[in-house]
Amino acid sequence: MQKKTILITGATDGIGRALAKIYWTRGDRLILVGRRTLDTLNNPLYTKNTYCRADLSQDKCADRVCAFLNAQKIDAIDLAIQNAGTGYFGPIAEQSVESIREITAVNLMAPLRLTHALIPYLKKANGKLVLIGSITHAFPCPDYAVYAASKEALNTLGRNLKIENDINVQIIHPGATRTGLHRKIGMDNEKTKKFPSAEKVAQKITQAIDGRRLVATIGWGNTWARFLGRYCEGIVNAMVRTT
Amino acid sequence: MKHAVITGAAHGIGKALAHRFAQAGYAITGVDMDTAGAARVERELDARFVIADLRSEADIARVLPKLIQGKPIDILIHNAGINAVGRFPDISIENHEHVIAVNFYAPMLLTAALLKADRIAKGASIVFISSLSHYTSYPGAATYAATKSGLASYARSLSIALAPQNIHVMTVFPGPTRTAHARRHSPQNTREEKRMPPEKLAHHIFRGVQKKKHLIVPGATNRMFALLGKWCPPLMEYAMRKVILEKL
Repeated sequence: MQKKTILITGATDGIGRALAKIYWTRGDRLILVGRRTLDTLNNPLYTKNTYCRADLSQDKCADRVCAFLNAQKIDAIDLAIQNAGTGYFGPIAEQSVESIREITAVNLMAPLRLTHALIPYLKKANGKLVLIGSITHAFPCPDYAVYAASKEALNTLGRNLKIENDINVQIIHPGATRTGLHRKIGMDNEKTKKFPSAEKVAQKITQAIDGRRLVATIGWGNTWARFLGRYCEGIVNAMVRTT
Repeated sequence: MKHAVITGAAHGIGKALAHRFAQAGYAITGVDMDTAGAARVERELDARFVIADLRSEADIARVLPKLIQGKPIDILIHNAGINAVGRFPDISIENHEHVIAVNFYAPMLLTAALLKADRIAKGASIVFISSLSHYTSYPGAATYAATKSGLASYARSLSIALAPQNIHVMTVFPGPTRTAHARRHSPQNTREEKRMPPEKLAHHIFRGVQKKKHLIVPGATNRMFALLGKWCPPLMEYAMRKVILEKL
């Protein structure tokens, strides 16, 4: 198989890191975007030629990524996976302004800014943009409303970009996954232990990326759950209300 | 006297909402960036306005204390919205960002802050003006559509989160409305008379609040398009591409 140039955001942890490993073993040229400093990442995946340090909650994040691409003399990208995401768990009235700002910036503004900046690179390689959503976008989520809303917005952005047809777009919705996110946002640990591992989910995501579906949901259970959440709104709302 | 807070109340749908709720005896607080437009509505209605540009977080932070010091809010309507029309790459990144700020970020900030300050009265309604684009898609305004769907999702979660506190949440999905906003952003205005007058839309919203509905799509034609868009997306997407995107 031909070597591809692949950009992954949120690549230092969870699903992003697992995706990076899979593509690394395939021998692809990686550009890994993350917030941590390079010296804290002890893994041959991350070198000064593959790792672009950029804080996606900042206004100028897309400029940093483009500067890195230029420095690496990369002018075409085959696959851009916008995976970085952050969250919050708890009552809406207790969520801080900083948290609302960060979730909006990382989960929605950054994918929008990067998409805008990367379109020329993707066009040049006739590449594909992949937005990593979440099945929560199809559900009412009283404990993480801003997170679910940002994912719903991302889903709709992808859908409309697909209709505009300037670039090839795919939206992939994983279900709950065992990653550092839950610990970071203080979600209960017993439940999260049962979630499938990031490696397993990343494997399925790469399969979905190799396929052609515009919207792909990872796993049969999640596919059904998402269908119910979208098309049987009333029933699902009532179910969430009583739990 | 009950108290209604309406964002974007100096023009269009917001202004019609201010009139409709004032007619029902509500005291109106409007939030808008247009000083002259706000002054006009204040003269017509005896409404009070807070001038703020909802694109700016600093303005939101400045407005909040005024709303928090005011009377408890019985109706909060997130109506302010902007659009940026064109193919996604052709719209400047600043304009994309502004659409997210006004349509998506500002309503969430205001809602969270007013809930935190306990300014939303028991039995109150919070209304979010989303868009029919949530069902039909809206190529040529991808970011606008994204913010409106995101807002609908937020409202849906909020509706369940706030039910125990007896706060009602309603999402409105208006179709084309006869406003200056629509005229500015449509590829052609030859069929403007087909758009719903804002007064009529405001009445639908008023009735929806009275009946404590959670979700309304005002107008029979709009409801038909919403159903088509929900159950047969490719059909509506094709139509939207022909009617909007290819005429830009």
